[in-house]
Amino acid sequence: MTLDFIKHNARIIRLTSIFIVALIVFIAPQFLDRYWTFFFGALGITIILATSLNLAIGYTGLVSIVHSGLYGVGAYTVAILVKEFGWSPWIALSMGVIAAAFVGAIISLTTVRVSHLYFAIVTLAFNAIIVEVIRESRDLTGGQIGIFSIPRPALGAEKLDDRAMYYLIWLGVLFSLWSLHNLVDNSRYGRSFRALKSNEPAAIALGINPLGYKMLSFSLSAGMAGFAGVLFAYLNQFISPQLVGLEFGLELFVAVLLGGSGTLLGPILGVVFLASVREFIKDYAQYQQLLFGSVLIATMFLIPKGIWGELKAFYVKQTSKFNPDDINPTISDPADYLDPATIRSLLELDNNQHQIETGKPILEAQGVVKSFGGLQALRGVDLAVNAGTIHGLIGPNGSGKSTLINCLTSSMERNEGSIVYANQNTPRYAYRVAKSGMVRVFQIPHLFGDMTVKENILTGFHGRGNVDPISYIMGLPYARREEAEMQRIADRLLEVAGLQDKAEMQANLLPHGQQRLLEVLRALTVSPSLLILDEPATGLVTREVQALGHLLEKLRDSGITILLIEHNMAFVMSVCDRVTVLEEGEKIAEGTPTEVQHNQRVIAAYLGESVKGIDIEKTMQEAVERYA
Amino acid sequence: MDIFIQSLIGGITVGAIYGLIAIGFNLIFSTTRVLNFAQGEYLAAGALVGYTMSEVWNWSFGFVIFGVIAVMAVVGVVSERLIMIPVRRVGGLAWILTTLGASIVMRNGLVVLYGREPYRFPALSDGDIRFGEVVIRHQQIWIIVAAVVLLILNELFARRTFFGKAIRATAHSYDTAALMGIPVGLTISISFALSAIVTGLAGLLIAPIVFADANMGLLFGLKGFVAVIVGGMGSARGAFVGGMIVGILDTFVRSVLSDVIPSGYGNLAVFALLAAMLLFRPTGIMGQAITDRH
Repeated sequence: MTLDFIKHNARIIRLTSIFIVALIVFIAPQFLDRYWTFFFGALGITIILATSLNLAIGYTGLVSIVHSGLYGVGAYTVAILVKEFGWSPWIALSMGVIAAAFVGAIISLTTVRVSHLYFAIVTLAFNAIIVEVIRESRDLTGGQIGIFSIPRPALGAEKLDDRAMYYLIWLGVLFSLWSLHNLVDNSRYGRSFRALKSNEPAAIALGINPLGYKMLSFSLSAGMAGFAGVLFAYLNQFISPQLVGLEFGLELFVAVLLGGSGTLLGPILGVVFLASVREFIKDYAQYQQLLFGSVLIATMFLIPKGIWGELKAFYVKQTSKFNPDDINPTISDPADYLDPATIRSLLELDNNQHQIETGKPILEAQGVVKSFGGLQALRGVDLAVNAGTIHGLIGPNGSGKSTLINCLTSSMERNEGSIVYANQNTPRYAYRVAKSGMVRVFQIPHLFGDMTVKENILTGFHGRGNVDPISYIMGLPYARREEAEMQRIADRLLEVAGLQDKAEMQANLLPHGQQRLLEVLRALTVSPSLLILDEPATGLVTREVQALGHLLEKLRDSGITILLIEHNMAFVMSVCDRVTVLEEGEKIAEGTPTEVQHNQRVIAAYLGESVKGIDIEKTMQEAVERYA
Repeated sequence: MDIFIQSLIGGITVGAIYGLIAIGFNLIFSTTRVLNFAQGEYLAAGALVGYTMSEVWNWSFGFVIFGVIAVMAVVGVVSERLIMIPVRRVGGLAWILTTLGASIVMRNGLVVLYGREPYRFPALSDGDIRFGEVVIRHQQIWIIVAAVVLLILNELFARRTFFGKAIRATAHSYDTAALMGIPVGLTISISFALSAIVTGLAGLLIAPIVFADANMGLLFGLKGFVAVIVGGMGSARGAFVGGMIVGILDTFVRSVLSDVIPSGYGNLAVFALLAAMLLFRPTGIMGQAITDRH
């Protein structure tokens, strides 16, 4: 009952609570003594830092243990600039942010070579390096002793006092949360970060440059960490290497994960929780750390998903509107909705520079060879796909179909052979393939499962628009307009595809058939001229297969060429214009469906030599008629 | 030249210890894909428990070894429960929180029991061997011999015994191992116990050379960890070679190169090696790539 109330008034409740919290934060210092003013100031700084870490871990999947180090980079940069070189604290502030962002950018370069667990370790190493550099560059940093009496910034003639620092910090907290919200929830940049976290291969197939976006995310995150460091240097007016140490870095980690990574408020809960634990056990100085560790382990036993995770699980369980029983599992037939003109305009297909005259080859592969160690998966395959056709690629399991697709889309490096797409060699990097006009849909569903249906669609629009990330962070009007325009197209597209009622649903909760449809739609958002589908009919019921067939035909009529890998022979035979057959890494036949059907080698490959007695033609013909 | 040989020997000695810690890391990582932040604490626990047995209770060294093995086995199994129960429930990054929690609890548990002061216990045999200016302490020879013996035992265990093979099978795939009738849970417990034993014995060995104290685990753990990455995850021999490289590099920067580089940069050199290794040869010298388990 209460939860239903929350659900229906979510926006009002959110706004009211933001207002109340802001009010409390604003008037609190009137009732606080120096100790508590300082305490809450420091708490705000930790919240900013945890928020920055959340951008890296929670939204981009970059597990970082170097954030305390980046925090230190910000703090030491301003301390040295202001104390040693006499810079104005306000100008030094921006330098602290820039220095940390720069170090972050360098660290994120390593994601070219390493990812996931390794990245965590690399950041651990960088943190250790930052600590050692600070300890050993005694002339600049004061070594173990640190730097003290750091001058605070001044407003007018007055240096900021503790209370003014408190307000500055909480303004910073507000700004950090607001900008993170703008970035991750309402911008194409944030959606690309989240797509990379959710499913990197799928993001790359949509043309998202993994290194570029990870660098962007990590630099922004590092800059925010540096900002927190700067604030701390000014608040505390004393910094030492302990600030940067691994212990603090790990504690931040705990705060973010415990609170709930990937949510705006989770890390705040985590920071407040840890700070309260520390505050409660501070009277037992001797046992403080022991108690702290025990609380940590106990928490993991009691609420392993973290505070926010458990709350959310409870909330979803109680209010779940998307009870699987309620969903109408039958797929609406897109043939009822789609018309080529609408598709063309929504997807901006007319702007496509890679148009090839219908009937001429759009994709030509020659002599493609791919070996895995001693196994030759492709032994010199030729393939030509003509523009404006649906081209089938079939073959028994292990015949090299998926390997060929991987080579065509540069997901794998081929050993030999040339691949020309729209009169140009295919790009070397997989993420550029989408931009060149070729996009693939994977064999196993590769949705961004933790994002909504609409966000999945919107992710494909990452290349549209030209507003820079900083404008998005600042929530500038033209960034908002660009976002609104993309939302509008996405809504329209979902409507056209008959998915509008599921727009806000989490994508992995869709029934299987609609997940496949959504994947095809998402692939279309990058305005491809060639769509590669890897066994799209797998797991679909007959009616859904029919609908898929109609969809493909509509797309072909809209001017999109389709390369279809499929096991469902009847389906292939009914929709394809031409069919290529692979067996054991070699092309054994090519031609119209009828020609292929009668090819003795194909029959032998699929059914073996010993069953020649059976009337294959008749069997196939029957199957085709059933679906026609 | 003398200082060169002298630091080489020092480097090999401490490198053998890092190598043992690295083997400990490897044992746990291979079965669970968990990097145990509490690994260094096993070392501190081994050293301090050994101190109590040998100096307070006056046990003979043979008993001390068995005593430390028994205690560390228990420590390993208990920490496995603390670390792995939440991890197996939710997966994801929970391991960071649980291993971190275990390390904080163990380290500060030791602080409560032993305080922060350093303890030294006598070498297995005092005395040294001299070649001109070069001095080799008996304990250094003991360390190297014991480390090699432990390495060989570890290899024999991995290749010749049922649980050794079970650990390797579990490393490959939980599901396949379970289908083959391997008790996966028990195998994981055993890998933690062995890891704690090997690392605890390393603590016992190094204690006469450095002071043993409750906080010694942090830096040793980190460097042992660098040794794993340098040597390569999944290879005990690689871990050992990695340990040697880290030990020698660390010692050299502190002694041979001390005129060129300030001695404090020893740790920096080790961590720079880690970063470089991860970037240019992430599989380490002898390891395979870290893959997610299927």
